[in-house]
Amino acid sequence: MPSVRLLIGTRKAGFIYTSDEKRQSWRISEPILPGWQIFHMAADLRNGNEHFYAGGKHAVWGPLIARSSDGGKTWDVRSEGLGFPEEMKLAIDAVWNVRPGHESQPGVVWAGTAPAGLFRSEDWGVSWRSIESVNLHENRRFWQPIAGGPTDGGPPVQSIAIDPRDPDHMYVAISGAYVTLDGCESWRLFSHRAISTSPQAEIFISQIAGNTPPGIDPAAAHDMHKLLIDVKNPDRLWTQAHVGVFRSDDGGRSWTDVTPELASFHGFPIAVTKHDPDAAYIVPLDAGTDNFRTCHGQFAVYRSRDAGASWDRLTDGLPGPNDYQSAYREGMDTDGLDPEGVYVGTSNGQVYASIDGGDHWERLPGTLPPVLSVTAIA
Amino acid sequence: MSSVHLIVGTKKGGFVYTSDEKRQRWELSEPILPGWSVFHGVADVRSGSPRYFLAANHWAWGPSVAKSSDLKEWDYRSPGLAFPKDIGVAVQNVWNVQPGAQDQPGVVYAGTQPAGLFRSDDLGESWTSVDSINRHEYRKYWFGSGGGDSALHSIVIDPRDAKHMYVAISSGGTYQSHDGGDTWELCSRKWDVLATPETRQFMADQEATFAEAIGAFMANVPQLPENVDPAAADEMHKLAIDTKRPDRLWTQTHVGVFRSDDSAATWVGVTEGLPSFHGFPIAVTKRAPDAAFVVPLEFERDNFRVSSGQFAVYRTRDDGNTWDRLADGLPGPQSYQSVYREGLDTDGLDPEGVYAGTSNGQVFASADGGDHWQRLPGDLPPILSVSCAVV
Repeated sequence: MPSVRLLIGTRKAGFIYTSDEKRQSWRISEPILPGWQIFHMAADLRNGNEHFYAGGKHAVWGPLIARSSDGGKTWDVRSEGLGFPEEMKLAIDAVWNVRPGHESQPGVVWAGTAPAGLFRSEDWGVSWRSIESVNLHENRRFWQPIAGGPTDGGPPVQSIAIDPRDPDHMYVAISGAYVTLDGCESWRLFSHRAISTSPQAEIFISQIAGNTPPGIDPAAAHDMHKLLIDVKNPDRLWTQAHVGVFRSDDGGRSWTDVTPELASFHGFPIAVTKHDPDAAYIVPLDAGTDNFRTCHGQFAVYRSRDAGASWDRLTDGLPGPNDYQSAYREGMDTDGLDPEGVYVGTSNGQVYASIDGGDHWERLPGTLPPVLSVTAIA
Repeated sequence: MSSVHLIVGTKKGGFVYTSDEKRQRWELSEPILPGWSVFHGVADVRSGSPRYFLAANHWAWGPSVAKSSDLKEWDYRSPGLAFPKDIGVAVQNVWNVQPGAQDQPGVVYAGTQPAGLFRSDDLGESWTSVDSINRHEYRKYWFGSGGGDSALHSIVIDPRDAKHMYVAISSGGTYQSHDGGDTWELCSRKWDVLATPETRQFMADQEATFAEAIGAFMANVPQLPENVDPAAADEMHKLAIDTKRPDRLWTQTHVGVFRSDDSAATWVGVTEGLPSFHGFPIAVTKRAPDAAFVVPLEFERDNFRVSSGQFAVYRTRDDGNTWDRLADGLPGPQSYQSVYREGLDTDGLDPEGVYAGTSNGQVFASADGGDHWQRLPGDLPPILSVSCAVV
């Protein structure tokens, strides 16, 4: 009975790795939904179910949230109701994020799209409806397209996070990140309180100046590439933003820039352990004015065990020298086992696993299409 | 002793591998123009000292043909690399750069997206629009396919005659000039395309599956002239000339591999024996013995477009009648890579080396015509082009 699985989204299909709890030997599936660009996959294990969701797009058939209830063998691609209200005159390009809802709301599933849209299902992902409080938000006109997203209609919903203590308390990261405390009735911007201190980030900051809502510091972390909640300590949020790595210990009210000890302020994914001991992981990328955005020669994951005060550079078993890979925003996850496994997938289709918190890494079999997401289930 | 350079263009910079003629040990450079997308690179060896050109495009700084004489200092200024204003389109990317004929030492050509041809008479210092093609009466039939707007991706010059050239446009047909680029005639309309039952079935399936999308698209595209087969005007992915025998052309198209022995007057489908009619690159040996190489990709309705678990190069030594599957030293199983249209080249040495660069940033070299392959060091950004130079 396989007990650990990695759901992998890639630019041309999904894949599933399986292993037992020792996590020493991994098998890879055949391609799932080949030809579909799978931005993110999620597993929903509530109420004794096992639903897998895959969010993405197809060059011809458009956006999708596919659903499997047989461990990934067959998929329902209908994505009923997944569309903006007509008056918005806006088409969904792709689904970037799928997130099972709060434990107390079985059947509820959330999806984030590009251009920015939040959608909710109440029937385990069979049908969807638009959440107008986000999709018609007054700040929408300030939402700027990002590299890698569609050129028209604004940026994607990059992250959805839910407070494990309170289903009415959620976060979404778009162009600017927003919080609701009332179950999606109203959303407040909070990312403007995370102010970059990195001098190198100025070039990026200057690029977005002028496109921020009135009264907002252009140095704020508008573009949170990945936002997540520390489920062990749910007042704590982490984000890898375009202009730095930030931590909040009070639900996003105030932020500390924890970038200074890192190789670069720039990167995409961030992962946090689900059990003690605490650790956070990121993959800094080279990002000068030239937009190189790769690890430069040696692929390295950085780990902090002291809330970002210091970072360890982890490379044992990771590829280099002459290695110019990247990891995308959903490309890293932890498995919640003891000791806790960490997994990272790269732009070159390589997947690495560590079962000792990142000290040593092993490459899993296969050279996949560019890996867009890694989701660990134990 | 000469050295062999592999000029590798990637989505995020250029790289150069260097070896001696034994081609057993390769060294990889630092990234060149990191952050630029290098669609294609070429060494110009017409004069004693080589010059290097890169089709380099930057998201903020725009399209360019960057040039260098030492692979260290690069000048990416490209004055004149723009369509005349009244054509109403702007160059987005340079896709291909091609030195002119041996007896025209300053001439360099560049192919762009949207489809355009540009010529330099001073080794890339300045550029002019080749209006005979850029204003061609069929321009209105050119449109984009998978990679954005239309693109002029192949520029082929007859080694016997500098006035005899071909350019291939995706999607929009392939054109031939006999007068140094003053006039161009569509030469892909005469090929015997869709010759196999598989390709016919494929086209029928595509039309059925994508009927709605095709209908919406075609509503905005003018109808082709009556004498032009729409399938033929569609798209070659890469056009190559056999320099050993310049009446012969090879092409990997969207729907098959074709050969012409009479300078594009007639075409023969040579897809049979390949696992798929779809792929992008095609390479031909530069010296005898003759061989042509392709990388077939899985391509059904789902648009998967990768090698199927086992990465393989296919070789023909009998004009496309039969194909050998070459996989010794190539990655698999569970390897889902692709090779883009400029990702395959031969080096013209004896025995002739073959090189393939993949979408996953891996470079493979064979020093024995494809029988055995070796992976070169490095995990590069996705590889857009591989080009050999013996200097």
